[in-house]
Parts: sequence; C-alpha cells; structure tokens
Amino acid sequence: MNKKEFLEKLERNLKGLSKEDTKEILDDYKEHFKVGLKKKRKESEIVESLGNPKEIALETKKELMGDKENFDFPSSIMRFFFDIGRVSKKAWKKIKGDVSHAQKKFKDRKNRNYRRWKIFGLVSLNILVMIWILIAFYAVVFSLIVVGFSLILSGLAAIAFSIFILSNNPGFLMKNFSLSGVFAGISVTCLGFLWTIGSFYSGKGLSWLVKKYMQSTKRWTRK
Amino acid sequence: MDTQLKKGVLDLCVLKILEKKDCYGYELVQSISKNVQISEGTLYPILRRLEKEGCLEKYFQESKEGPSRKYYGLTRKGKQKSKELNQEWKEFTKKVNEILK
Repeated sequence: MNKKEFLEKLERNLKGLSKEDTKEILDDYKEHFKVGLKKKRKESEIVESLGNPKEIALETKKELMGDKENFDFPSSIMRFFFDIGRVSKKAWKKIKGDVSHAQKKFKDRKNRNYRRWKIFGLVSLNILVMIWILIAFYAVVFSLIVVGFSLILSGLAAIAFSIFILSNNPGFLMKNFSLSGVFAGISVTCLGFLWTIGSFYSGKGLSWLVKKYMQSTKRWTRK
Repeated sequence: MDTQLKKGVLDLCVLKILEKKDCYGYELVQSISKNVQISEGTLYPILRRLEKEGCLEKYFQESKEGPSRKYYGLTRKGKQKSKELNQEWKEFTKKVNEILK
C-alpha cells in the first residue's frame, strides 16, 4: 500500500464523521507523510508503521463520535440500518445459543425466555414498525417543507401579479385591490420562509429522536 | 489491554510530553511510539479528541526545513487534566503494585 492508497482507504472509512473532523484527520496524516519523507523514511515504511487505515478510521470514530456535530442526516439513516443489521445478527446468535443452551440446562429458563423475547421483539419492532413510522415521519417533514416552498412561491406570484396589474393603470377599485395584493403577497412569502425554517428544525428534532431511540435499543439489547 | 485504560494512559503520555515543550504531530507520535507498543496511526485521533475537548491548541509555525508545521501546545484545561490523570495513574499503579507484592 502506498501513501495515496492509505489516504484513500482512510477517507473512505471515515464516512459518518463531520466534514471538519475528516479534513483535520486527513491533514494530520498528510503532514505525517510529509515529515516522514523529509526524514528519509520510505513511503512503504511509513504506511507500515501507521497501521491499518480501516482500524485507524474505526478508532477515530470511537474517539470522536458521540458528539452532536457529528450527527448528520444521511449517515444517521445509514447507521440506523447498520444497527438493525447488527442487532439482528446478535439476536440471532443469542437465540441460537439460547436454544442449544436450553437443551442442556433448564434452570433459569424463565429469565432467558424473557430476554430472548425482549430482543426478538425489539428487532421485529425495529424492522416492522419503526421503518414505516420513520418513512411516514420523514414524508410529513418533506411535505411540510414543500408547503413552505409553495407558500413562498405563491406569495411571490401574488406580488408579481399585483404589480403587473398596477403597471397597467387600473381603475380606482382595482388599484386598491392590487395594492393590498402586494402586501398580502409579502406576508405570505414571509410566512413561507418561517414555515420552511420551522420544518427544517422539526426534521432535525426528529432525527434526534431517532438517535435516542437507537441508543436505547442498543442499551436494552446489551444488558 | 483494556481500551479505557489504554486511552487514559495515552492521554497522559501526550499531555506530559506537551507539558515539557510544544511539539508537532510527527515528533509527538514518534516519541510515544518509540516507548509504547502502538501503531503510530492511533495517536492522531487522540490528538484530535483532546483538541476538541479543549486540552490542546494547535498553531502553525515555520520550521527550519521548509513549510510551516502544525504544533500542539497545552491549554490551561490540558494542564489540569494532566495533573488529574497523573494522580489517577499513581493511585492505580500503587494498588496494582500492592497486589503484585
């Protein structure tokens, strides 16, 4: 592996970190190479002593995750599915292990059954219910944003249309009518902006909820 | 080695070295990996975390040989943390040594 391959592999595996962190980390390694090469070390030797980029990326994520700023929308969805995968794999192993275990021992059966069903229930809840709830929630947020945009657009259209009428020397009644149209248009546009901003924040709040839910899922299954 | 323990110890090493003098990344990595068995790559994430926690600060300085380098220095918070970790380390090793007697 040479320097370029190392950095590429590192960058690929750093996905999910914030842009700033990714850049800082990559810069650090670039500088490491620069200084190392200046000290007459071979490129391959530097790569070797740095270690596996995949592990470094994992280590980096462990060090830096848990920060709010590292939580962004697409990667959270990715992580959600990843978590589902991991939890189901764990649960499957657990169930398999439990079954063979249960054949040997009958003590404590109640407790084990309870845990087994708890994990199983959580997994199916995640897959069957949460996905649809999530999709529905995101659809709601999306439509809220669309509503915001259409408010802005219709406000702008009202302003444009009223100005168009005004410019054609309308009669007294029409003039007043279109003047109020301009102001109505302005207020609808403003409302649209506020609405859009609000929708974005509700989307953010929603992803926060998802994150909390996922964390608690992890905690429940670990016990 | 327990990762939690290792993390604390590496933090302590970084902070202690920077207490003596400001270093650039490569220098710091070399001086730790020379003595402690870790791959050089694992230290940069730790530096970044310590920086984000406010224990380290970064600045650029010209070097004798070519372009400017990123130097790390301790902040007041970093000094405080160094003291705390040092204390923890002493207590920990004392207890372990008692067991080993």
